[in-house]
Amino acid sequence: MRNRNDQGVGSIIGGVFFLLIIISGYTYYTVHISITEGYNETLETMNALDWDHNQENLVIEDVTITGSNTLNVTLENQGPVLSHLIYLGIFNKTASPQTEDYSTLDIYVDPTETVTNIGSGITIIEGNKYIIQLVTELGNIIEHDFYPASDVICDLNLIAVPATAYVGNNITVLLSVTHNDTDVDTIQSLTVSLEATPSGLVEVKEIPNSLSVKGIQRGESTFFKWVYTTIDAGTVTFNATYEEASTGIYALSKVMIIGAFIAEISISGPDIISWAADTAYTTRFAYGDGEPIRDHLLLTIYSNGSTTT
Amino acid sequence: MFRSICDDKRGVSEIVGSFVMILIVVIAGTFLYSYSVNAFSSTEGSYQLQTEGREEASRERFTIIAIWWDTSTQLNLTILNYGKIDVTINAVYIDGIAVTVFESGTGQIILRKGKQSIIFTSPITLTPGQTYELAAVSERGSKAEVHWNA
Repeated sequence: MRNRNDQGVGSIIGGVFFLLIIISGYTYYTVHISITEGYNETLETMNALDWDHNQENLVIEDVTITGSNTLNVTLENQGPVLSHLIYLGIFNKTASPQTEDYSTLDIYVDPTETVTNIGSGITIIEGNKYIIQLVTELGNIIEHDFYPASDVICDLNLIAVPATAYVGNNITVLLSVTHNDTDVDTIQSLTVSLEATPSGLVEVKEIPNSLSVKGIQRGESTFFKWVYTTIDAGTVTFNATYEEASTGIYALSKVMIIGAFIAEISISGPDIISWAADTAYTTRFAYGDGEPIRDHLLLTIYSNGSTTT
Repeated sequence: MFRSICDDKRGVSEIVGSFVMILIVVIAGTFLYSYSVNAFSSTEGSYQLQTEGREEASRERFTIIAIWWDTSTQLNLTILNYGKIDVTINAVYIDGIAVTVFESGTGQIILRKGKQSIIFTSPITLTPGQTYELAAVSERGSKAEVHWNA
């Protein structure tokens, strides 16, 4: 007779195998999910990297050559993310063949922070055209054209006041140099010069503290002031330019210098006792070719019983 | 004898019958189990391989940071790797035309935060003042493009 306890053994064994199949299936499902989650995490990480890459905003504010002919770059982080500078590239476009040199950096710049003295160990040949490139860990590059004045077109404005002066008076000459060349970011240095023609009409009395200026940024203006004393009558032309400027880059201003104008006035009348000229109210205007005489002289005339002005 | 076997009304004993049933179940179960494990395993393996490839490609980020031209036919691209994985550049295109003559740089691993110069001969004639599209392609298929004015 069949033992009741033996019934269903095949079902149990089949059930065990069925369970094994389910477990293995669940295991592989878990592995599958894990792989997918890992991939999604990687995508999220790379999306964050792309976001930071787009948000990073660095601006080179100033580039100058120091007294020891080394580079000095000033940089500001205008973006919201921390920036890590990893390379500094110096491209010399004047050299033949052109050179590309990279130096490693390890500079962190916080948002709104300004860092200076970048490139302090790099020697620069003043007068050569350079492109300065900063490379960040987030994959952004910041380039800056750093050219000598000979490769830049600047806007010159020259004003000499007064337009007409007497011999012995002073003439003030103002020169403004504006860097508005759209192809260049910074001018390495610029030295202005001013010439008076004919030179015998004026004598320099005051010159600017320095005729040279370094590191002129695009859009920036620099001002210079001279003071001349007039020593002879005539028309003097002031011609301003800068060293190594291209042909046609200059500014002119003219001043007419006239000699002293003396007018003789006769005062006559009854009972005149004395007269006085109050020079405080006296203004004399130039008498030049074609110009009317405008001559104001305040006289006070004292006579018996009355005063006439 | 044949008729005696057919006329025999006696069956297999219960013990043997149970054993045979168990054997059948075990064999069938083992077959099903091994088949399912193999199927899951191969599916999982190919999915893992495919996902790994896509993941590695998604971690690549590189850009062309400098282009140097000797004004004749030689070009030098400087590639920066700013991604999360090493990169190997194995192809460069100029205006869609593949570069075939490389002097150096291709096939070399660019480490993370590293840069590499790739020097090659241009497959097309370059004219000063013209703008060209340069593309560098990695082994994993990622691409970096730049428009360059010669």
